[in-house]
Amino acid sequence: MKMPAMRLLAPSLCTLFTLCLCVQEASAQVDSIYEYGVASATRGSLEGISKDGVAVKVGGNTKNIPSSKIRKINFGGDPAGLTRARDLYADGQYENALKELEEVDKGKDYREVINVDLAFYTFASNANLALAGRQSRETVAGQGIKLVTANPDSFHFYAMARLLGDLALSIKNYDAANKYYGALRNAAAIETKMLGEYLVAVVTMEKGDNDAAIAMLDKVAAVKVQSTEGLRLKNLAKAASAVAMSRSGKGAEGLKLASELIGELNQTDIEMSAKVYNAQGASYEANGDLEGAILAYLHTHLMYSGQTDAHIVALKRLVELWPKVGHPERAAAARQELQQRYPGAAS
Amino acid sequence: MTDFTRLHCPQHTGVGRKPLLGLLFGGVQPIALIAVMIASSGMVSSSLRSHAGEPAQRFMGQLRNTGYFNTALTYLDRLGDYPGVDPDFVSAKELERANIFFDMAVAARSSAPRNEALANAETALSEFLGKGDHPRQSEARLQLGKLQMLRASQLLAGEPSAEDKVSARESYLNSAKTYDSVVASLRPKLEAMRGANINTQQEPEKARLREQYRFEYMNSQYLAADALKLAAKTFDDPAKEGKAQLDDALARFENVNKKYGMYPVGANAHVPMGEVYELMGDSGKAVDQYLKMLEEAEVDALRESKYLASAGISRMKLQEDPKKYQEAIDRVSGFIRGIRLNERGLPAVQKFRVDVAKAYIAKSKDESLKKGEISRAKSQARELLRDASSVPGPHIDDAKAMLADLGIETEAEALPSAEPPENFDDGLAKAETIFTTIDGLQDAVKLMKEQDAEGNKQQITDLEKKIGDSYVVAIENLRMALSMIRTDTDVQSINKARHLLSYGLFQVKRYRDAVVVGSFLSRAAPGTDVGLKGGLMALQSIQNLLGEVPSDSNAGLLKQLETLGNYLAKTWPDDPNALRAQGLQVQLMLEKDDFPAAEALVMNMDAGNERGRFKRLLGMLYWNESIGKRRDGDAEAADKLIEKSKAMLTEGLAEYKSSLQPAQVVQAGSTLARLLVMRKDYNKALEVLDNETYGPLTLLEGMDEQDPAAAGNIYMAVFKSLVGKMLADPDPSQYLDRMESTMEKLQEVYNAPESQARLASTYRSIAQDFSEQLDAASAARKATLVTVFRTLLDRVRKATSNPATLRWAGETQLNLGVSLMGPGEMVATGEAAKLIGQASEALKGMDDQSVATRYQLGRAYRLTGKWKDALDTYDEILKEKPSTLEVQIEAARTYYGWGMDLKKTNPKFAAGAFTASLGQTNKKRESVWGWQKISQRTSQQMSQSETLEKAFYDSRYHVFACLYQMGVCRKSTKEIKQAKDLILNLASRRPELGGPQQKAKYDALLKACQKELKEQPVGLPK
Repeated sequence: MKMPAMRLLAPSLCTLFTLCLCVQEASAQVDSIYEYGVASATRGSLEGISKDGVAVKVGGNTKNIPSSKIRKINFGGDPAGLTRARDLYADGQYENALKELEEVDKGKDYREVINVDLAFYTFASNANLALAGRQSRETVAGQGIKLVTANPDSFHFYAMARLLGDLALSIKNYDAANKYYGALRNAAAIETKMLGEYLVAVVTMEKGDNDAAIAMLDKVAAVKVQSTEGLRLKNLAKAASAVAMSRSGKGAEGLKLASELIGELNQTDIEMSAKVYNAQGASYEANGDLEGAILAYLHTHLMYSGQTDAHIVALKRLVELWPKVGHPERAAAARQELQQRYPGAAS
Repeated sequence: MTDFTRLHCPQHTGVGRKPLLGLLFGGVQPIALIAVMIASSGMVSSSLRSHAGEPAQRFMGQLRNTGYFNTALTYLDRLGDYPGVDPDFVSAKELERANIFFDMAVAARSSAPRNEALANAETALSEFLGKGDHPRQSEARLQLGKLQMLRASQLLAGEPSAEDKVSARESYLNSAKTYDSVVASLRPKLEAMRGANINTQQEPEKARLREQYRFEYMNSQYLAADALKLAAKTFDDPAKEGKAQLDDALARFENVNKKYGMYPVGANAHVPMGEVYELMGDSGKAVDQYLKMLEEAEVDALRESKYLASAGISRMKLQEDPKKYQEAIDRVSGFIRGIRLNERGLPAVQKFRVDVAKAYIAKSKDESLKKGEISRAKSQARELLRDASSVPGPHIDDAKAMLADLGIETEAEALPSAEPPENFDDGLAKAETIFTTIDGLQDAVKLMKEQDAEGNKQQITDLEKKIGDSYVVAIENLRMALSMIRTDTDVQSINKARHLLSYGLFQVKRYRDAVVVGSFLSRAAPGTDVGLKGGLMALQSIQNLLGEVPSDSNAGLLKQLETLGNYLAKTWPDDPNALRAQGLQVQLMLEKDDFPAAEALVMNMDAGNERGRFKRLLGMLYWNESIGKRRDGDAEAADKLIEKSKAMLTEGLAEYKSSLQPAQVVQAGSTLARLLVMRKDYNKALEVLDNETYGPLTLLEGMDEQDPAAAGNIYMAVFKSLVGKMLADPDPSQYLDRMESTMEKLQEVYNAPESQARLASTYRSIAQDFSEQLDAASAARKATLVTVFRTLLDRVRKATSNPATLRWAGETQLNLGVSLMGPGEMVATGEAAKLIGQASEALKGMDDQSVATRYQLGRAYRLTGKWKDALDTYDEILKEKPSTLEVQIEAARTYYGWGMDLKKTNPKFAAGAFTASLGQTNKKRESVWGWQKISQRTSQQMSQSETLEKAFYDSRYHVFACLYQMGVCRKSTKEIKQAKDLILNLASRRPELGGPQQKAKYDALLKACQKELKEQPVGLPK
């Protein structure tokens, strides 16, 4: 599963942010900051780092880059393993990323930012694996809490908060999930705030308070924002809203909403596609249309299985639904895939 | 009949459906890139486009690929529910529907659903084609053509009537017309596109369409030709009645091959061309085409055709007279092992298997071959046919009939099946109940067999069938149960189910499946008892499979064995059972006589009982090998093997820790002791024999049952070691007690009447050994030993009445006496005479006057100068057994000795004795051959053994010696000259003259002859 928080937060032109007073360090080394949607990196030396962004000195000027736009930073003095690990992580190869990180000589005296990056990618890789059921969620969450407590001003802060929230939600610890997701609501970038609101709404929905969730999601969907990421978040909120509707007996409305979203779907957006089709599936189920629900979940299973959380949901539903339409053998196949691909995540 | 769907169907090219990747380059594509040029109907460009809305085409492809055909049909019906579906896709809905029905027909395992699916496909196609022009019209026509082909093949299935054949022919011809219409419709489109100069980058849609049309254009030409060929085959005599179609098909294929040889469709054309030539009866050209197919590039798209070509070569070679089965096998057998996992179900592969099996069957019928070759050919045929029989298809009946001829029964009835369990626990419980029932049935069978196997035969057969069926049902239950595992299912229960499954599969001899399940269990539950059981079940299954598969084809199994063995040994290092796999590997190496590999494996094993066991085994095998080498005359190799044997046995015995498998340890210890005795290392030999942990004597005591031969060897080794030590020790009498007790034990071991021969043989060996050792001792030593041994023999005589023992005692005493005689002495005197005289009395007094006893008695008489008694004794034996060489030699020697005895006092009688010794006059004792005949007989056999060679030279010497003595006694030079000439003649032909000792005797005799002839006594030429 790609970690959404890393790439979600495209800046709005109106976004202002201020550097925290706790500037982490100035560096004379050349660092390369890679932004989403930008081909070349910004090269300069970091002058300031905060949870909301970094300041880079390029020539005689200082450029501020919000954390929501940062895809990755390759620091001057990076160990090679860390450089490789970042790319592996971005590609979803979490186990390989961890292998690279383990090989890094921790005894060396790296820059503080590098040490934080090492710790962050280790935690993030473990967290993604834990969400797929291949590691203990509680243990990894403990590592994450220590990390975020020790680095409240890292530009990875919101990413860590997001992951901690995901871990908490996966074990139905809704209070903790709300706490961590809630931290995103305090971000400077509007898109990060929206993400926070969206995620808290999802928690609310998972707690069973569908009406409250719908209201919160409607707020997200109503935000006036023109950035790509912002628009995307609005659609995500709508998809979640469709699910909430289906859970609260408004299957027809949910279905209508899901269909609208499909009509605008960018099929290369795996997360969006998976969640929209799952929403469609939930809506069909609420309406008693088992065939329609199966078809919807099959979309996720056969075409968007790269989105782990959604794929798990789709597989679970297929396990339940296939026997009802006379295909127990297909349910068994889905069950087998669930167990083999996401052991321990299916409970 | 070719199943064209797999070979030719645009969506079934090669080994499965793959999406059209897009032919991204214009112009001729080299063969090397054929691998990327795979097409599938209906998977056109929109899958590559990223656009908003429902990705219908892509989703449809996924559903079809997964085999969810009914769901795909539902999806098509519900397309309207999805916003943003590509209008092109919507407009081609019926074509998509036809494609789904076509997939269903191909996947169907029986004719009824297949026919229904085909009928539905045709309806959908007709509906689509009826709508008018569409970019995918050509694709639809191709499908229609395909459908017509399928219909025809359906009509020809089973035993078609004449009408069916006519209808099938029409369908094929219609199909050819359909394909021709595709070609006709595409030609102008392609020409227009050629002129349009389409830029791939800027107009990707048009470029894609152009490539699609090109593909369909080429393919349609091929398919039209194929349809004509198949139409011709519907005639009873295709070469005559279908000539027009065959000629037309051939011309078309040649055209396709010539124009598109760089594409799969062109390269693949060799196979149908071969088939056309086959139908025309031109086998030379047919083989030529098949060979050309095999020579095409090694790419996936051509593999199916290569299988068909191989099958064709096999058929053609078997049509020759005599059948050139070996040429066929040599050409195509390489493909057998190369069948990929995903090719095993292909019709082309089954055809290949059946046709190549025929070549192996033809080979197995060649009586001029060795048994092993015939048996291997049958095994190979069997394997091919068994694999083919496991895949449904038109070849099944042939394959099963051929298997039955080879002697394998195929199932005549359907196997029982189980009701699906409700959940995992239910399935496991059902299976456990069935296993309990099976236990009861097996007990019943056992009881019936014990009571009256013949009388209860039918009941036993019925019960055994029931047991077999019950296993099948249990396996079904377990399989279904395991498919119902949930995340909360108890892991122990899951592993239990897996274990039961592997056990059940083993019981019904589905060894390959048992290997898979057992291996999986061992890896899923490492370190646990049930995991080990799974691994051992897999191991036993591999072992059984190795017994079935010919050794030149078992490389894959050996690899599996190695991997499993290493894993089990690593995961359960303390469990001896886990090391069985490694042991099995070693055994297999040994069966192939690959000692270095076996030794390497053994040395790599972890220290412990298993390694010790194999070291001991290797040690014994090296010992056996050394005996063989020595027999072959390769003393150097034999000695090296002896050293290796000694090292392995010593190490192996040292690693023995427990009382597991004592019999093998006893054998190893005994072998080492005998080896050490052979090396005259008597101290070490006794140390081994007496060792408290692994010593054979120690272990023998603890064994309830002893193998007499093994025990006899041990006691023989003990005795010989004691003799050896005695000969070297200043106080030899200290060994007497143990020697006596060893003799007693030997007699106990060979107590049974049928063991007496064995006992006698053991004594002979001891006596010979003793005699050799005694000969080597100094005179003073001999005197001491004789005294000590006499005491032993007295004790033994007093203690036993066993004839073999008494005979041995007599012989040993006799040998003691002989050992005291001087060199060249023919008659014993003094102490020697006393001993030999006592021996003869003892032998004469025995109740058992077997040949062996009388032989020794005769010796005793001879050595004490009782010539007549000796000759009478030998004559008696030789009347019974005239060809007993030792006795003939003794008789001739007796005459000679008598002659020497009479020479001084009565030369005339002496000459007579020498003449009789020579064998020239034996009126009284006609049974005695004499030296002349002995040397003739041994000269014919001297290459067989060292003993016979020695006997030859000795007998030749005595021939010359007799002649010399006759000449001396008669004062005649004639015989002496004759002797001299014969010696020189022999020396010129065989200069070694039996070795240095014997040569010295010849030399001395020659000199004596020369002296008597008043010549210079120079002796043998230097």
